[in-house]
Amino acid sequence: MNPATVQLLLQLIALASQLAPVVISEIEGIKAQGGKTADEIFADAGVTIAANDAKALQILADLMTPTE
Amino acid sequence: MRKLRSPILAFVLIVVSLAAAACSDADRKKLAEADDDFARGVQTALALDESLIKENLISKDDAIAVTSALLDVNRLGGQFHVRAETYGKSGGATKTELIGLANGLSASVVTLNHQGVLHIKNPNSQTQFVAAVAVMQGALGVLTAVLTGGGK
Repeated sequence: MNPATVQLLLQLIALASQLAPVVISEIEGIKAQGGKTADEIFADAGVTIAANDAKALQILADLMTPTE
Repeated sequence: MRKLRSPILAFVLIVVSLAAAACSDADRKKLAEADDDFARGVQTALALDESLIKENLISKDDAIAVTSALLDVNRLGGQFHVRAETYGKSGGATKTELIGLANGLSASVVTLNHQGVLHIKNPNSQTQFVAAVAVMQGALGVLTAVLTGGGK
């Protein structure tokens, strides 16, 4: 199994335990221990959102490129 | 007695103001964390989408439908993010405005879920996709609770 697949599986296993908001609030608590401010967390989210946008556009561009 | 009332009143006002500011800061941090969780849910769903395409587990048309729905969700998430960042700041977004944006975001996540169920045929992949969508829905639950004053 390639490392990217392992990483994805690990993420999905983590996701499976995040279904309830109460678990997410626990994760929030862990993150809070990291000592980040709201502005820093918003900045992180902004970076992820921009990366998501670029990735989605790239996937769509690849899908719409005719293959030989 | 009259002399004493003003300092006490001033003290009470200061305490109330500090308490209100503290609540606002706590709410803002919860919003930021839920905003970040939501973005990471979209990131995971995109990684899964990309993986399905690379492993030929999804047709081109199905992949376009799912990716387009993910792009819509991410863009609405981005609009929410831009306004949520200003929450608690002078002239920033109000709870009412953010609730409206969160409602739109919630509707787009429902559409995304339908697209995933409809277009991802592989049962395991479908389960994984639904799990990623559940993270977004969980984050939305936290956002809504904060914005409607329901605690977490």
